[in-house]
Amino acid sequence: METLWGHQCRLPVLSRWTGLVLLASLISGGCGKSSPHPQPDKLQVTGHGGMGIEHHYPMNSFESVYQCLHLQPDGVEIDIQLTADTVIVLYHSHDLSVRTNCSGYVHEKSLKELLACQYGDPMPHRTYPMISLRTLWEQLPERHNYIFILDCKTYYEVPHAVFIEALVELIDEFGMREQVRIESTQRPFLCYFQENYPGYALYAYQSFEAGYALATAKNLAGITLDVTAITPEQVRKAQDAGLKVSVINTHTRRRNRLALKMGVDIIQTDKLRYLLRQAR
Amino acid sequence: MYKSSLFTDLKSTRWYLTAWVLLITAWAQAQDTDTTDYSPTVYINHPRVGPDTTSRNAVYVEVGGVASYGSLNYTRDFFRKQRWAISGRVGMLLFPWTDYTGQLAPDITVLGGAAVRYGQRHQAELGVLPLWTNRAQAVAKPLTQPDRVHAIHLGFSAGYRTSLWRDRMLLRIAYTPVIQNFKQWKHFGGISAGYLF
Repeated sequence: METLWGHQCRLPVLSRWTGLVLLASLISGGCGKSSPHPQPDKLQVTGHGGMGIEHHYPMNSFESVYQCLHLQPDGVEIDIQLTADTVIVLYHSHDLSVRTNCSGYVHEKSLKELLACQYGDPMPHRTYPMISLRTLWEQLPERHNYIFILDCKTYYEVPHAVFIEALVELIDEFGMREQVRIESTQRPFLCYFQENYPGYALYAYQSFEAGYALATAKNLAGITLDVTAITPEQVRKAQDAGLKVSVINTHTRRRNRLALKMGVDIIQTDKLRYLLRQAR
Repeated sequence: MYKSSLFTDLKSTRWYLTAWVLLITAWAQAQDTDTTDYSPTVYINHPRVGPDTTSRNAVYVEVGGVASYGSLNYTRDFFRKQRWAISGRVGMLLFPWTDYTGQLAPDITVLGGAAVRYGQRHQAELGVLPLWTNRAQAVAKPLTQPDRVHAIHLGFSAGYRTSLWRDRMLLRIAYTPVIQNFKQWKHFGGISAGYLF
């Protein structure tokens, strides 16, 4: 019998060795992830902003992202913005005052100014610094084992070309092309990206109709939607068209179960521990 | 054999029931006796003259409050005059238990301070609470190895406190702002419940 390894399979020996390997992997601890590399044909569980919106570590902080990856999901979703000196930093909201002790906007500040900003947890006296995408990847030696969904926040008049060039340069520098999934709500952003840098996995983050139309027309990798704004029929329709379906806004257990039931491809969850238990 | 054991069980059940009824009756009797031993106004209507008639110590859990998620606290009244009382308070929070790398290394919050109260059974409270925090945080590279960061903050409490169940249960609700690192105001609140003794 020809095997995947290209030689004859001796069943009794193989099963004995398989048994030993299985036993050894069980003894050495079920906590270890034997194959952490992204597997595109199965459900991919990713932490929304790290550990999610309700966790005691603020979304997009190093602590939140690292703790998320420590739990060994398939990857992590992070929000990225461009600074005035064209550095990509992790931050979600329009205004810095929403989540940090700074005020103003990311695109108006330099990296140095932003690194002085502290995420303010809703709880008193729990602050965490902002970080750049470069620092995050530099500090994650096992970054190639995980997928990174980069939600590109282009709230302001930052030229898309500048943002995309800075991002592509960083991705290439760290060799993360296979690991990243680029997500944006902006049609011009996605179109520019696809036309100038084909081959990246791009996700249209819009309504189902708009996202589906854009993704099929521009040959994008997939669509991102609110889990409550998509039906199982739409998921099937998108998957039949060769698109991946990624869902967000899964901050309750019920919504995570709903996402599992619909058979989506990627869940950006706020209940990471729960979803990992359910998915496993 | 079966009949015999069933009979024995029924018999013992009856004995247990009888014993319970006797105990409850005795307890009820004891309660009646107690009320005749003390001034009925103390236990029935709670018209205390001042804080002197209440318990001086309390152990309680505060949910929220200056320690953020909550804290376990001890307070003691060290000064009382008529309706006024001044108390000292110490408290602690160990949360979360693990740092972001999954190691057992709890974030520590220790608080201590004083509060002034006014009232009888229903009391208004005003307090000041410096607090010290020691947390795991990604500061110096490599960020995958957590550093311990400590800081001092100043918290306040302004709230209402009462006692229930014959001055044995403490209930408290307070507005508890914190000046984070003595720089930034954070508005917060807390609810407490505990044991007075």
